[in-house]
Amino acid sequence: MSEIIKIENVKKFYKQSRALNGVTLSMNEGDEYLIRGASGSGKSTLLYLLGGLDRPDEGKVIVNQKNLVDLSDEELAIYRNRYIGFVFQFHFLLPSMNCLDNLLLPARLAGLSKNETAEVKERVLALADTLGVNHCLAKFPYELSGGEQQRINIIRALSLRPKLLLCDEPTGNLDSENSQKVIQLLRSLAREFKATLVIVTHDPQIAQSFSNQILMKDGMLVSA
Amino acid sequence: MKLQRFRLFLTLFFDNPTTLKFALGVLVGMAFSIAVILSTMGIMDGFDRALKLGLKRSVGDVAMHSRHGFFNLNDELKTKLEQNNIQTYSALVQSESFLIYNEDSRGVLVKGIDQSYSQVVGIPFSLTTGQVAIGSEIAKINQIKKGDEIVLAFGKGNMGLKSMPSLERFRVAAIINHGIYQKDSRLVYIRLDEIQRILELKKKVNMISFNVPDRLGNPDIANLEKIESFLPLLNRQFGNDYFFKPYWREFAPLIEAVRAEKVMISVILQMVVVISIFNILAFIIFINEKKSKELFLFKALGLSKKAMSDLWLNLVFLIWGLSCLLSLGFVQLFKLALLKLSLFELPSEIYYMPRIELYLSWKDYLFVFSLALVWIMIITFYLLRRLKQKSLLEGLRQEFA
Repeated sequence: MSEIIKIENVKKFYKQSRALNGVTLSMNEGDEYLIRGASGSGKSTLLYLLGGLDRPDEGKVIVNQKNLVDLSDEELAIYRNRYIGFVFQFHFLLPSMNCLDNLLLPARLAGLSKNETAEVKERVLALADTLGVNHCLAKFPYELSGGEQQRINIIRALSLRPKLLLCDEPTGNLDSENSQKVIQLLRSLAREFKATLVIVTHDPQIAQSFSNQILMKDGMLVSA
Repeated sequence: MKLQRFRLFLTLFFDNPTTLKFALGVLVGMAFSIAVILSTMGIMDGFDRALKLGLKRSVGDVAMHSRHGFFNLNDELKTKLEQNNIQTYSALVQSESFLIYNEDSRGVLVKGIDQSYSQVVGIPFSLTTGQVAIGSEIAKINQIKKGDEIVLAFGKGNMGLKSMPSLERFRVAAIINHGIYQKDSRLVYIRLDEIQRILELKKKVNMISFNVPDRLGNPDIANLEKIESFLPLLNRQFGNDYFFKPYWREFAPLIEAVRAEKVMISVILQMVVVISIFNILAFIIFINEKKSKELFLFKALGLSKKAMSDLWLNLVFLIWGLSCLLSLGFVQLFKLALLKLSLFELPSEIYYMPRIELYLSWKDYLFVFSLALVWIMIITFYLLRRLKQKSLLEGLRQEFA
């Protein structure tokens, strides 16, 4: 498989603290990766840099042969919209919109045409059917259970067929049974969409099933 | 594409009554501020316009006088006028006089006119011998009605018995309203042949009123430049024997003062607009705080800073557009109040006109609307720069932690 992500000597500082201190690694297209480490080890920061939510202070973050550091704000926004699917620990669903509108949010922000939006709608409806949250589409997020919210969140992340599915503690709010289900779901969907899956977690149970593991400590890679 | 995003933005923002009420307040405040400036300018322009219209109704576009006093409107003079394309003109005699009625007398300016004068000033006169038309304020002050008999006392100078006036009786056939207090309280019209007979002038006159070419029946009196530019041409053609006074000349300082005041007041009243723009800023800050979770999520899901700024600017532009539209309504209301309510009637003893109508040209609207937009844009740009400072990740962590 070809290399899709290359991170070279990336450093990131937040005020006085060093979040990342010279991280170098690479990831292959379509593979599954798990980043683990204690709280404050820099794993989420690494994920956010990969997702274009932030820029490194030093080093290169090359995704699909493009250095994200060189992208303009506009290009980075397009990258986040078209290339990345985010699944956060908190569902990040907008309380003022029903679930279907929440699912179509990335498509609307992308300014897709009517036909393209209709295609996205078809896709999210099919996914909702697969994930068993069809009945939730007309409801508002606060009317759903934690598991349902997370599944809606996953559908939204996949709505524009991203190449990179980035998940930050996706099971942080779920019990162990539901956690396993969500991870299985993410892995199967990533395979179906041919997306590279990167999951950040500190849950050792989840880590057991991943062959590509990146362990982080104090902003540095301990093992990859 | 952008419209879809903007609709999404609006749906998100106006999803609760509080934001809607706030927006409505901002809109009304802004519209009212714009309307205040427009109305002030409208009053100034209305005053200017009413004054000029009134003056024009009393003299035509230009008054021509001889430096030698009385003169004959002979064929040579007529040819000269016509060579300069002056088709609408009227020769007249104007003389100071005293109007006596019920043992009261007042100084008036008597104009001896013929039928051609109606064409020049746009007031229909049809006087027969022994008839007089008087200004409406003279009628009001001296309680003269149509059909009443008045006496006009003309000075005779060195003719006949020295210093003895010539007293002539006339019947009031019409009461004329020029729209200007000073004219309505002073002008009296009789037939030209009659005043020539009384003053023993034969066929002589002391003034010619005329309209400049292409202005016959043209109600646009704002274009003074055209008349101004015509005057040097006339001076060259007629030489030193005659001089020309445009209709606004006697009120020129007042018109100039009104114009200067209009500019100054418009500038000062910009403060009102700026204050209401702070309401818009408060509204933006309010939404930005209230919906910051949503806004940071929008950014995380692919909305660039520029696109976000564009959405804010579109919102501000929408508020500005709706405010401008609403301000037109406020201006119409004020216009109606100015015309109908006695509260807004001016004391005619002090002002030249009893009522002023709002008059606004498209240039006034353009000036006020675009200046308001400039202010809004300047202040909004500054605010947006401040709003942009928080990083996306910082915002996401704060809002969703």
